[in-house]
Amino acid sequence: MAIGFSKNKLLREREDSFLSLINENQEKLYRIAYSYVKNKDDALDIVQETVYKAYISYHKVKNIQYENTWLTRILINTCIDFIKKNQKVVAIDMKFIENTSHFNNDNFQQKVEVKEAIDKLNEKQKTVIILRFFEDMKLEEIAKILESPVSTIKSILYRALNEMNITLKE
Amino acid sequence: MDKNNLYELKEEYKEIQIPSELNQVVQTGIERGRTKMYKRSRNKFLNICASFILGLTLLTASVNISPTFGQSLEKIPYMGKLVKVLQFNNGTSEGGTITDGTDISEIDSFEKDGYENIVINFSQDDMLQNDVPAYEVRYDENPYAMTFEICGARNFSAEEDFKKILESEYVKDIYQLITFDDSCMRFVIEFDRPVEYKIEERKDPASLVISLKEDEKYEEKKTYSLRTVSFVEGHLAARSEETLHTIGYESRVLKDEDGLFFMEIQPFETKKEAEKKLEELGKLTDIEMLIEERMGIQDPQSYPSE
Repeated sequence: MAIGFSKNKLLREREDSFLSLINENQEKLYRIAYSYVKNKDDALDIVQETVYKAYISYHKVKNIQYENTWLTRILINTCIDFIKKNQKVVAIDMKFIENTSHFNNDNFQQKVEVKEAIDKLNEKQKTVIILRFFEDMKLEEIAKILESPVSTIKSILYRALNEMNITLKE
Repeated sequence: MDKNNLYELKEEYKEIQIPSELNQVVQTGIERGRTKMYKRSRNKFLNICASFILGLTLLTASVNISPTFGQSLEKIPYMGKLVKVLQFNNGTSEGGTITDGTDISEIDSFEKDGYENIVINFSQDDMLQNDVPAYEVRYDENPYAMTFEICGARNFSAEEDFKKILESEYVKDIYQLITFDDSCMRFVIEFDRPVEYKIEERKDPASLVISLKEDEKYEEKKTYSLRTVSFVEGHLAARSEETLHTIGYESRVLKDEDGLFFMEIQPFETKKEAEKKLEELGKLTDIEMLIEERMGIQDPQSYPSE
């Protein structure tokens, strides 16, 4: 049976596939943004900005299989821009503090140390750690998102792990 | 430090709470994008305006000239712009905009891309409505069924289409439920096997589109339902439902093998858990409840009330 469409079918299909992409990824976008800025309001602002930027350039995506990668790249760039603009001002949600308080004591200290170590990394290193360990992405995927060769991502990752080690030993 | 510490932090990452405003924020982002794109294309639009008017004239002419073309338009289920794909949390989801005086005007089904789709349209004064009215939907198993609650709905013309929907591949039954809220309409779609489902909310015109596919990976499991006896009159089941709601229990109303209505609360995996809850409920209400073992699409048994 035919389905009624009131607008240009191609445009509508593109809009539909964009909205599906956003709907499927919005929670992931929020989590990544939150791990950068650590508070709800800023994370929501970043997600909104990302959706906006993605909407107005979605027609440029040629290969639909890379649209997830493309969207994540926009988000990460938006996060980094945001952090650069708001440097030295870190608004931490009460929730973020509460989130950390339900761990038992042995674990708690260690977790705080790892978190601090992640915070001390530069933006690129932080991105690789979040995508690799929290989002479970493969190095190849991360390489596509950051538009760098896999070997570069590997060295960023090892350097980051190394630096975290040093930070923790101090 | 070793990598395990990072994996431990991942649990915390997965637990980051998703704020309820997220959907709204995403929507605003999309609207900003639409406005921007509209401005960009406005000049282009003016240029093609003349040809558009010409096209419209031709279309109007063809509709007027050919009565069959005019008719075929009427029978098409309308799907508007995608608002969102519903995210289900514990089998439930919700959406829509607060409206009143809605008629759930048409339900139709069609097949597309390997999915069996059911479209629900909403109208006001015989005109298709722009926004889907506020709604809630839940999917339950044993038997596999989806319950819809549409708020601000006063009429259910689509009931005439129920027969047509029964021919749809996965639908075993579709029926309306009684509710004591006169601004709400509820209905149940039962499936004849476990299904993978996706629901889209669309606007301009308003529609809910349910896409279904057989869930081949699903493993059937036995559950124990805590339910009432069966009532010939649906409002008795709805009354028990309301009583349980006031003491904080979610429930659903279903038809049994003889087409009588009963109310049940969430299924339990073990008989012991069900018995424990039955005892607890016995102290809180005087509704007569029983435990029924059930699996898959097996029809709930009939225990007619005396």
